[in-house]
Amino acid sequence: MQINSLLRYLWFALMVGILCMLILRGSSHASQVVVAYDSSRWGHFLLYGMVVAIPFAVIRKRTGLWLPLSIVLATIVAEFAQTLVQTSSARAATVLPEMFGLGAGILLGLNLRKIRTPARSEAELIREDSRSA
Amino acid sequence: MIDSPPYSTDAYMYSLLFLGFVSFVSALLLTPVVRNLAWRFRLVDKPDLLRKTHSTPTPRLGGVAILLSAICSYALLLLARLSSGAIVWEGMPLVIRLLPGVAVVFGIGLFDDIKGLRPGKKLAGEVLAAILAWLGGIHVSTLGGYSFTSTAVGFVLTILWIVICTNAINLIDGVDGLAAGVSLFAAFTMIIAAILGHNFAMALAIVPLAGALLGFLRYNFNPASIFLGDCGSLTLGFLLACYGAIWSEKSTTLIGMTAPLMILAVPLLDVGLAVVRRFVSGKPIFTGDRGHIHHRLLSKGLTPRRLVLVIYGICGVCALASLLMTVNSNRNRGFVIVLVCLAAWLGLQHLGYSEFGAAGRVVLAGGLQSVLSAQIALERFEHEIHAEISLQQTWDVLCLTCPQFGFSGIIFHIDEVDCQWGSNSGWQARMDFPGHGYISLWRSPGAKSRGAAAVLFIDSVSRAFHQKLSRLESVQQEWTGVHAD
Repeated sequence: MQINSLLRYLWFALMVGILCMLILRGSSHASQVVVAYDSSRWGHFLLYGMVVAIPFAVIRKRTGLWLPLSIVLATIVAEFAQTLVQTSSARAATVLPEMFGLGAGILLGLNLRKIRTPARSEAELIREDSRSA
Repeated sequence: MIDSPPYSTDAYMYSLLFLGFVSFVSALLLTPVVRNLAWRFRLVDKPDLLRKTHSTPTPRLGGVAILLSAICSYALLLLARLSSGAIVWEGMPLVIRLLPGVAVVFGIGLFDDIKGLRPGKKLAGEVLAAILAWLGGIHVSTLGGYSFTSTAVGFVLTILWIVICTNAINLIDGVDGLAAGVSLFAAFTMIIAAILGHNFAMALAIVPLAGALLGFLRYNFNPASIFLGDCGSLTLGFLLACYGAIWSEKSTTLIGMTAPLMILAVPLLDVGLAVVRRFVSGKPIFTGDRGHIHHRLLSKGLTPRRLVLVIYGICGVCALASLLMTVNSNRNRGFVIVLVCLAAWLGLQHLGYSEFGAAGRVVLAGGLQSVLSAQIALERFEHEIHAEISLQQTWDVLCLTCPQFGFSGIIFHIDEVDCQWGSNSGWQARMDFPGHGYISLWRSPGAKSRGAAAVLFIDSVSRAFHQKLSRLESVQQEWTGVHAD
């Protein structure tokens, strides 16, 4: 399996995980994992960082980035909205690490994209120069 | 930190504004005077088309104007019969304990500008100034939230911090307005942090520097009519290092040196890169080159003015990050550090340093392993050739070793041994041994092993066989001598 496909599957899995934790939060079925995630600021930071970094590393076209980025933003908004509901156990303090995670994910994704992009060959550059001339 | 300020916050703020304004106006007035004096005494920096990007000779005593402006502002406020004068007296001990170090570092900078100084002597002067600052009470005692109890560790860290910062500002002073602007950002950030922490003594010490830098930038921004010179850049670096250490010392939070490190991120990153880059490429650490961050950005097609504005933008972001850490240090410090590190990594990748790419490949992509295995194979080959073996046996050793270095064919024609192995296609390296014959090694273009290792092997074969043949010759001469007797 190609690494790009693997990363796409990982992204879907992580998004499903985030959505599950959003839904399960505060319910009696909440497992230890959800409780631990809920109380960990670094957990939120790392998870959102990964979820944003993967599309930036995998998707080449800028227009293709809008959909995954919108989904991630929507989950952050949903998480923030949960803090406004009095019965919810969600805490506003986790939103800031998620925003930091978003920024870190963009930077990490751009770094990974730069590493994975092979440098243009000399011949290609010469061809480009002659075309522009 | 001042626990119960004897004056109101308004009085401190007026004093700060007065000091800043006076030093700003003084710099605006004094800089042209210093510039004219530098022209008169021919103390100008001539372009060399290598590292110096300016087109015409430019005076280089800007540091004199900055220092005079700061002194003028203090003198005026102390002479004026205002309450501000009394407030400034309060902050004077901090300024006075820095004076011996400033005098030394300014002196060596000025001497370097006028006569020129060797890097070793300059470094010794900087270390002396750092020791004077340490004796004056400037101590780096925390790093990343960890406090050092050992005086020796604190001493070494303080000297390192001051010397590195001093050189960092000196090294980025390669484009009009860059070092002065970066220092201005750092000074403003420290003033804001000092005011937020109610450390008015520190704010009073830094404000004249910030005001003087702002006034000086009017003449130093592209196209510059005067440069900072070493007297300016070294003094600025030294002062910012000292203020950074005071900031970290006075802070009640756990930020330690992280915030000062962050506001000086660009110059510190540049000096760190320069040292690592020169070490990796085997060049002397103190040799100048065109590999600094500003040189790389210039080579990417940025104009000096745009380059400076880009670096100002980066400094602005770093300043915001360090203030964010100061205000809300414990909660978000880690996230801010990760973000800044990732941004620095991205910036470095865009600058495209070939040294780091090559070093990364050597370390991560198995390059180090192949270099080591090639070195081991070479040493084993030379050892076997030097052993007491016949020429026919050396041929066997050569046949066994050649494939490891990507050679696919050998022609061996030495004395009475005449052998051939493999295919003779691709390119060949022929080594002649006068009076004995030659060895030809053939390598096909698609050979997988590293080309550099192949070259090393050719050199090794040539050297080993020259030594082997000369030893065989001397043995033969001894043998014939004995038989003649």
